[in-house]
Amino acid sequence: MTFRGPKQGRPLGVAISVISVAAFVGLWYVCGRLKLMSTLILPPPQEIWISAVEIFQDGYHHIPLWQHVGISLGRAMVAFFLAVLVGVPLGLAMGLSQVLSSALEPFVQFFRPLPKIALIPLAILWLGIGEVSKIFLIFLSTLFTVVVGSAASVKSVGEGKIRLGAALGATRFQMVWRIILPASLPEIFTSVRLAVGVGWTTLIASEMVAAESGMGWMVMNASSYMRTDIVMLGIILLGLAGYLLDYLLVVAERVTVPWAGRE
Amino acid sequence: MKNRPWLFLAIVLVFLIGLASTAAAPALADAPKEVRLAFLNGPRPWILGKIDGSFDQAFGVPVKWVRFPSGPPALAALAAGEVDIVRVGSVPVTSSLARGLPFKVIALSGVIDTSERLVAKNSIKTVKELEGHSVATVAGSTAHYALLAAFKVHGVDIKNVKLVNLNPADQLAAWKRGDIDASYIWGPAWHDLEQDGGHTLLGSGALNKDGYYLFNAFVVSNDFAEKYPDLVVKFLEVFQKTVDRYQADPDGSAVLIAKELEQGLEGAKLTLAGLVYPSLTEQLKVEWLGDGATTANSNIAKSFGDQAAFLVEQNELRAKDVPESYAPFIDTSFLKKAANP
Amino acid sequence: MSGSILKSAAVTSLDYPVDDGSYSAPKRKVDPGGGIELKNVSHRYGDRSGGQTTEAVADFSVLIVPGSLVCLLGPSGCGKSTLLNILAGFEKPTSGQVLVGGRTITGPGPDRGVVFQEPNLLPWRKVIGNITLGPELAGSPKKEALAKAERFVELTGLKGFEKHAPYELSGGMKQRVALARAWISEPPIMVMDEPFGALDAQTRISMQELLVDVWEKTGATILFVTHDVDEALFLADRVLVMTPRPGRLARDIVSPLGRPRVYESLVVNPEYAAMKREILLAMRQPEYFI
Repeated sequence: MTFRGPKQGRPLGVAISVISVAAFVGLWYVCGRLKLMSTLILPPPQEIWISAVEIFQDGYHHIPLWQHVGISLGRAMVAFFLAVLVGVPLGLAMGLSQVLSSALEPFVQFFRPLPKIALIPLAILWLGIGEVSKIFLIFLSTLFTVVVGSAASVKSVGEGKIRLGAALGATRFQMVWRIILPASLPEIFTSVRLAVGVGWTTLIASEMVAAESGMGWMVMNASSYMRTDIVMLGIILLGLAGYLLDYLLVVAERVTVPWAGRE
Repeated sequence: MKNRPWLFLAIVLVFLIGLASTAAAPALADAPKEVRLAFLNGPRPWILGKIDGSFDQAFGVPVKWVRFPSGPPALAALAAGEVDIVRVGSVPVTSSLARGLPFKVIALSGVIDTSERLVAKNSIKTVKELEGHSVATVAGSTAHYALLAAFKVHGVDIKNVKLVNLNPADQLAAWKRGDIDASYIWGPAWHDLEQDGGHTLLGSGALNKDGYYLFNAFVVSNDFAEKYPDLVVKFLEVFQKTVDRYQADPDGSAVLIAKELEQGLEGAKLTLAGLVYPSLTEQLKVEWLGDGATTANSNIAKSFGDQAAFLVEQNELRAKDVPESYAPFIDTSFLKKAANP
Repeated sequence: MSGSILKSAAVTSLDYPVDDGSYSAPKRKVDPGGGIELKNVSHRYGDRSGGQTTEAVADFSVLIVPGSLVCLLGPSGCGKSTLLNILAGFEKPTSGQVLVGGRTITGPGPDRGVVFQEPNLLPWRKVIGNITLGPELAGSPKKEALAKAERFVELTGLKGFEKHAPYELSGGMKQRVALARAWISEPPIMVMDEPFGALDAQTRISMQELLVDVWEKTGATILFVTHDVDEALFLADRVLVMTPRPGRLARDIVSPLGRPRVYESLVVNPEYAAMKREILLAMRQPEYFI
């Protein structure tokens, strides 16, 4: 998705989005009022609202709601940060060096599609049941998408820019640092956004490991007791937080690479 | 960001779910296409009926066996109309009934004695000594309830224990690393811990004398019970036969069951032996489910109430959701017919 | 933008310009390092396994004197871009020799500025940042680079656009930036690969006038690749016509047209017509002339 100019068609788009969400919630509410479906199978918004107010006031398991949200965001953001820190340079190196790419490609392609839930026992054996193993699981599920995306971003830099650099007498270092790296940035951002989406889905899996707080844990725990109202609340919070993360990345992208999609 | 087709898809989906849940009451039929039985990984005598097809024979229609990792998802499938009869632990039954899931308890499948155990590292000799250590269990399970009951009975202050919520499959890894010092868990999972230098502090049966009953029950969806009462009776008859067969030949049965569930023989054998199987006739006594008239005062109905109170205390259930009595959810009519043919 | 030409020429007259004394050719100080010599240059593309190969350029030889504006004209796919890439140093010829300023080239170098078909601006740099890229890469202090840039910003009519982002510019403006960027280091040779090919007709004409204007004010040799006959006629001192693949030199025509040149006058100039005919014939029946 390319980011349009701030003025171009934005208010209308936002209005339509707001109306569509409001219509959806309204319909959901009406279905609940008319008892079209069991409140257990799909709790109506009013019940979720009541639970949300209760949990907001008293917390879930004596832990305030914002702490559940905060700890999940904290785990995810530490993992994302580390994945970008490791993944982007690694991916760039792979994109620049055929040898490195050939050497690491099998590992990357092996681990990338692997369901990270399968690694839970190993994560516990290696890293225990504390925060580290939870962050590790999210990190892993994010890392490989970042690596693949960063490697591809190098390859996507147009031949023209490389030739331009050569014609202007750029050294190998200048070529990488002054031309390839900035030219790759928009694609790197795209892959980071993609990876964060993937990593966020691993949050629940990671909070299956001996967690006592967090949105993923809240959803899992509530589902053990058929508290579908809390499950829905958790899902809504997870979705909103994921949306927020993506939005932050869009803003960061707009600030860092304002030219993205406008070449 | 302008077009959001998913929203409209979601709305359609909501309608479909609504329709499905309202339209799920077709007319009485003679026999279903198939009977769907939900089982968990725990070795139990009724698996013998899965092996030799005796349920299929008794019903006259094929049985579809559906495996679940734990009770709650099996009960969710029951609520969705995906399975008909579920064998499940007492804690998920308690919370699901409070949350209004449409099913009834028809019989006990087994009362937990040593099939669920508190296993600790050898250095820990008593329950009291668990203070200052990490103890694993599965949140919302019968084992979790039993663990907290054991703490109460033995005067352990829960604030001094670090409770760790871990799936059985992940416990051995945490145990080997020393991240957990003990676990209250069902068989055969505890067998692995005992093989790795653990020993049993207590089994759930030891808590009976203090009024804590942990058990597995068979529950049937209201829908199925109304439409096919005869099949429910037949189900209990076959179940009793599998228990009889198990009791006649525990070792031979364990071999078959372990093979069917693809588990280690020793763990399966010990788990099977760690349950008490009151006969259908015995279950009608007030000591267990009662005979309908006495059900309200039965140990099992009371135990459900205790477990509900425990879940409220744990903040897992709202007090207003918990029914005054669990007796209305216990239907002994099938038990009576099956016990006195 | 190229005021000197337009002012001095009789735009209102449909006659070709005559030397009425109002125009004095700029006194150019030609860069003596701008001589180009191609000796029997051939180039083949082939897959690495050594199977099928395609001959792009065959036995191409030419000598270009410093300071001239030479157009390399030919149909699409005749190997003219290959030849240009070889001269720029992006590709090595399969055989033959390329000398610039008397020395065999070994790769791209600061002695040859390149303007591509695409502007290839770096979108993260402003217009001025794109223009000063070459000096910056060469390690010039920023101040010096900016001072140098000023002259070319003015020559290419980019005054006032220095702080614009590339994506805010039209195609023609982008190509002006590309010209200024290549020219800022004042290389003795400018190599241009159909730089105005993607522009609309009006913009193309004004860019051609701009190019001649800048060329006259610098001492560079220009090798300009195009497939547009009128463009070649308007720009060139000398037109090298190539045959279709494999590219060979079909005709080597020295332009009889004086400067300044004005499109409106050129189209009714018989010399222009004659030269255009010669070129068109050369392109149509290359074998006849070989």
